[in-house]
Amino acid sequence: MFGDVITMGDAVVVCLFSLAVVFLVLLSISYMIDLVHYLLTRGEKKPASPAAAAPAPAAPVAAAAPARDDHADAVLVAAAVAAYLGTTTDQFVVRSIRRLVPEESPWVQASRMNRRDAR
Amino acid sequence: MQEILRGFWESTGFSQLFQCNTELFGLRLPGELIMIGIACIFLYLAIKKGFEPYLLIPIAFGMLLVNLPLAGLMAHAVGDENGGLLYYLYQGTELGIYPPLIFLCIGAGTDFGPLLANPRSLLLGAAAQLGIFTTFFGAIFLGFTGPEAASIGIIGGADGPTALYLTSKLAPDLLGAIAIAAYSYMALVPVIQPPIIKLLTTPEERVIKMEQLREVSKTEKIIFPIAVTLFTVLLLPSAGALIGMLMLGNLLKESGRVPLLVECIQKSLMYIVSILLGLTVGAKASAEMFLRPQTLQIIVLGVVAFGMGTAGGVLLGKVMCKMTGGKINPMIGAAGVSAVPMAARVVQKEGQKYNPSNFLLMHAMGPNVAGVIGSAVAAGMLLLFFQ
Repeated sequence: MFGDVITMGDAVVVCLFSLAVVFLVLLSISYMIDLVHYLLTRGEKKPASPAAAAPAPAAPVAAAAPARDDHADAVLVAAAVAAYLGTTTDQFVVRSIRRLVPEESPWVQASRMNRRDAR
Repeated sequence: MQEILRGFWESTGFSQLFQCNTELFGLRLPGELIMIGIACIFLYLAIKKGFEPYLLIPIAFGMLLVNLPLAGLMAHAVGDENGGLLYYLYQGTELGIYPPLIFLCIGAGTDFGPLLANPRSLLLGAAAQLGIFTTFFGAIFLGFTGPEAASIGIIGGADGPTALYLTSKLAPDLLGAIAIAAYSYMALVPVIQPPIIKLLTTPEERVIKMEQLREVSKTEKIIFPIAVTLFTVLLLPSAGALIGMLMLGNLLKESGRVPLLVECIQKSLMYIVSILLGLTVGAKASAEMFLRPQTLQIIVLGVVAFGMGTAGGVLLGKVMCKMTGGKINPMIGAAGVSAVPMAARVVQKEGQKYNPSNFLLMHAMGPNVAGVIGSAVAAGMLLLFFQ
């Protein structure tokens, strides 16, 4: 489109047009991501709004918590404990599983583990 | 006997090494000897200081090999006589094969999850391409031709394979200088970016904590590379090689169906191509091509490109911060220059410097991988104009 020799005016056109196309392409991709997310999640139930949840304060945690397979959790935890202790799952009994640390963002946990590993 | 000794001496590289056959700033200098010295300095920086060693060691050694007199490793094939080893290996660079292969490997190692969770961070990746175009303009001002200026400007994308791909297509004579500038500045991102970030942001902006990113489904991750390839390559066919290979690598990874291919790409192929690319790029830095005043101009323009790219990202980050009522930390804009994941790490480190409980790494990874796509699109535009 342009030869070896290019005027300053042409250079300005190249800069502005190229930058505009870069923005246009990336902006379009960002809306495309939104569209895909919308199409994939439109059938899913949205979590109840705080106002709707207010009349039933007695069981908000149970309502908000996703359905979990307790048996699968127990199997996973038992396998992890067995691997940690270097034994097999028939050598001990899991009677209860409860969280010992306060829940925090996975990013925070990942970063903490990174920093620990870097030491 | 004397004749034999003289013949032997003249057949050795030592007899040519000290010949002053390179002219620089009006002085006649032993070009090959100087280039061997420069190669040794790069080897020292790579091995002792750890500056991009995976690429700088092959580049520096390629530079060393090509400047050994009479070895003829970059000699072209003439008639029945074969060319040198590096000449044949260089065909992969000249024909634009190695850089897209590196993009395949990068795609297989990239998680676009943070980008999918916060799609507007793509705009920060676009703003950081400002460095490419301002430097292009500066290079034209300094008297470079259009294709040369485009190749110099792409240094601002902070994306080595893209810079090498575009330069091999538009200005192969500048390949050595541009590769050295691009990879040197990529290694210096932790030095170049923090002062610019500090200069352009306020203390209040630097401590902004960002909300946790949403979870991204597997389906979204699989659709993304296919949709981006279709849209981008249909719109800009000249970006097809880079975008196509980047997204193929990512699709292989996200499909979860070909773990052995992904492992091979992430490890073996990546290292094999890095050796070939580095070695052959270094082999383009012969004394006659490297020891020129233009090389110094390219080095200076390269740092301007990195600085302007960082500034562009941070400035748009400030705009987005204002528009979202302070929900975006403008520092993540600095990661819009590709340099994956170095630029994102710099943002994380800077964020923790001002607020130790702030974790910006994943938020910065969005603009960081967006920068890879942005620089490939910018390269496609420049190819469209100048090829």
